[in-house]
Amino acid sequence: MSIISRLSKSLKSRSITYQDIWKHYLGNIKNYNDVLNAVVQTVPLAQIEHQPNEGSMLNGIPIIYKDNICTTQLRTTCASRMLQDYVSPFNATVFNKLHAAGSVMLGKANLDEFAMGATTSPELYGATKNPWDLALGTGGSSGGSAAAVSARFAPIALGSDTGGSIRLPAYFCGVIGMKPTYGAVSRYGLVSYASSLDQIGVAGLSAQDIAYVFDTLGGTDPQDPTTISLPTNFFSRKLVQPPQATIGVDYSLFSPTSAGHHFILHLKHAGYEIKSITLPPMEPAQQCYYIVACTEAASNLSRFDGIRYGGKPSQENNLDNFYRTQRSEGFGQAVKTRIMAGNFFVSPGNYENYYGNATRYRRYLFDTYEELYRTHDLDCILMPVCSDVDTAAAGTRYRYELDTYSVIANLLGYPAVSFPVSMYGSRPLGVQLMGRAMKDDVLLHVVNKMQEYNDVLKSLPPFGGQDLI
Amino acid sequence: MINKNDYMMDIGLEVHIRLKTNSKLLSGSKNAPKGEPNRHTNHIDLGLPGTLPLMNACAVRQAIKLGILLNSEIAHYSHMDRKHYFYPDMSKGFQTTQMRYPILTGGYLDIPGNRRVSISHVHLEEDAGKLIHGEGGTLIDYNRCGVPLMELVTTPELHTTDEVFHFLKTLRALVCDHGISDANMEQGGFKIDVNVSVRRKDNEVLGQRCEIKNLNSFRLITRSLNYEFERHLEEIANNRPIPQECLSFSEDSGVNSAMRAKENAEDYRFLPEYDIPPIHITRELIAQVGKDIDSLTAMDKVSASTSEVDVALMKKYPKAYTYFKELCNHTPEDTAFKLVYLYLIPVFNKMQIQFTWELVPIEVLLEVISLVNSRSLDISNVRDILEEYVISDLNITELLANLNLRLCNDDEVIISMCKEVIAQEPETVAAYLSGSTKVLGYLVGKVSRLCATKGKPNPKKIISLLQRELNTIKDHER
Repeated sequence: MSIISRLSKSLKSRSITYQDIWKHYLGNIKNYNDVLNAVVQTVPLAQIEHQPNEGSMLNGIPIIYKDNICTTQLRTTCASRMLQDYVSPFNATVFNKLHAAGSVMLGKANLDEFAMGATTSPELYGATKNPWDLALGTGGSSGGSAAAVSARFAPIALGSDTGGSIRLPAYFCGVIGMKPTYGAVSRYGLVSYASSLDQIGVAGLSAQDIAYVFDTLGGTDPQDPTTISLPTNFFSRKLVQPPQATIGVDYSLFSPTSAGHHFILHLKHAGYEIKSITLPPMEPAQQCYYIVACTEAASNLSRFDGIRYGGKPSQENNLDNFYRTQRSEGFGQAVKTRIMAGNFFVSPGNYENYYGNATRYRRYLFDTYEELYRTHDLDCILMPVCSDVDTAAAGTRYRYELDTYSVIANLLGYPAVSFPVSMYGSRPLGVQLMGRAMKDDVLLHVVNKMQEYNDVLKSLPPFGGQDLI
Repeated sequence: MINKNDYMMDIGLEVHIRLKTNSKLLSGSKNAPKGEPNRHTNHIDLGLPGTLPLMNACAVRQAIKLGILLNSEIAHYSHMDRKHYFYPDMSKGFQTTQMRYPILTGGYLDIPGNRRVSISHVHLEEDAGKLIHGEGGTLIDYNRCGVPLMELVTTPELHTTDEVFHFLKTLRALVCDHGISDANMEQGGFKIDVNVSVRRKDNEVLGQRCEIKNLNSFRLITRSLNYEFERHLEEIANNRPIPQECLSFSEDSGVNSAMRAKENAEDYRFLPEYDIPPIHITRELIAQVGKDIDSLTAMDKVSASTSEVDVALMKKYPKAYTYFKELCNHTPEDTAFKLVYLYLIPVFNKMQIQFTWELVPIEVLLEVISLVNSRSLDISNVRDILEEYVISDLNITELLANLNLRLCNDDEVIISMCKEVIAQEPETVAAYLSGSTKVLGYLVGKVSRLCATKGKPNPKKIISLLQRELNTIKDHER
């Protein structure tokens, strides 16, 4: 059930105060962050910036922001030595919208450096631990955000998703993580990784909470020309309608013992129509993704030269040496690898073979998936979040194949949500739903319906606090 | 030794034109490169983390305008690209430009000498900031960073320094006249890179190409090209290869020298700019921009029948042009021109207001013309009557009635004034009588001023009466 509406109701009936809420969640952070390392900066109670907005559901609601989202109150480090002391002179559009709705920032979450990686273990801050099992990882790159929600550091955390960065950690930490349609949420103030793939994502504990937050975040932003306009209450408008959607399933992707396989039965039982489909092979999409992501990353990260901001003071007189020192010392290994690969993909003689082919394949893949949705009249496709091998390893070690199933949505600009459906031993496991563009409302509707059916999210992880109410 | 006359140059130009816009290409900062250092910069210009570019629609319109004027193909779809290189004046580590889909392709410019020069393409891009090297170190001014530019590239079909000169002069006048750019060369608003190669006239294959960067005056271009021609000839005579390289011209030594080898081997790793959606230019937008310049280009067409001064006036007041054209449908072109540009426009200028059609409908001007033709209204009073028309609520007939009341039409009064002036100016009168008719105007002026104390004189009447008086004296002397 929606935590936001519970808190909102209690605030309105004056059975609790803002202070009660903030103290409770700050308390959880104080008790568990030392072991989890999910949050890297915290706002002390006295310094919480609140702009009350009685008309909004989000009034007084604490939120944790991934540390690659620009805020003036706390540093925006991207978990990189390059931006270790960087304070942005402006707030991201998503921050401004949530702030205007009355929500408050409690802290900033750990991430892989510049969101590049799937383990949340940056050199600067060290790894975030999984609230369900400290021996396991959180996945990434928004591992701090997902772990923070799982451990009840806040009911909502914002992350970013370039190739699964909100959905993978949500999966490992047993929460809901959603990446909306490309352009649905403004990227102004999100430090870019790969411009054509990046979207702001939200981690939460109920489909309703996530819908409310996206309703506040979504729509056109004059500062981000890639944003699209959305109908009012777009994300929440289908939450409570009766189950009516056609879901495509490629059975070859689910082993008979997997959580997903059982979940298909639940979906049928709830009244959804399931259609068997065959998805194109995942491997080429994976390669395509890495070429696009690394190439765009190399370009986006060229601005970090240590001249205007960031970097380290230097007496170096030779310009080339200055750049070399700033960038070799400022970036960690994962980032450097991507920059070098990205530059390789577009260097003379390579462009057509690598970047050119990747761009064409991306187009082909889009056409293939559109055709698939059209011919089967599908609303969304059910997919695993990651392979069984990676599920067992739980994102402790980085594998190239880790984001096999999650990158498709980014390549095609589709909305996708990962959410827990059952317990696997002592921890929850989930699946992923990917819709066509602008089917965000349908995805949240299905998640909400299935949550009513069997709310795995009620279970609390061993390393984390309680819900306030 | 080789004969210089057997050889020729093939010259192509790359012209960087700074656009006249309020704000920068990708941000709302003021397009004012000359301001106090770093005053006109914002988060986007400085490339701060998290910022996204915003395409300036006005810069796109300016490019469309140039496209119409050059008869180029205006791309219905074009997009921006990133050109990567590290330099402190480039805040993002890349320049936003157009590589694969330029906004304009093809087109031509006619230049004196009956030559038509083909345009290869024109693309939009942003300028870089400026480094200021001083004793204490190097400072960076980002005011210019992000200022919109158009780069126009010609095909290499110019052959002499004269042709280069004419091309640049014509292009510069074109962009200035249409408000596309100030094209100020001293301030870097019109920068030229030159590609040049030399070949035997009977050889169809172009020679090895060299590029001379940043030539900022016509004089430098001529000097640099002449030097390059001689240099190539010498290398050819000595059978030495000419390396393809970037050169810069030194004004002091008068010599082109190679730039750093690194700048020649730059790998820009061009990439589409995904933060800016593709630029879609509709037929409607082109038509809209076309309307802005229609009146101006149409003026060029009437310039055949009108003097240069007239054309200049038309260009200065493009809004009045449609009005003028409409008037031409009812009255001869020269009368219409005189009335609009010499009488009506000065009225608006005097009151310091913009010309608006509604304030003086065409019918009013036609009425004025018919009054002048029927000699009910003197042409010298047209300006006054139009001015009063704009200010007051009265119609032309009422205004004319008022005016006539005030006119000093009493012949007796005027004759007495004439006599007075004749008495005051015996020498001028003598000059007139001995055949110097041009002094008449002076005498008329004096009489008018005297009459003015009694009311507004009718100059025609003054002239006829004054002439009559002077002729009387002449007759007397006989």
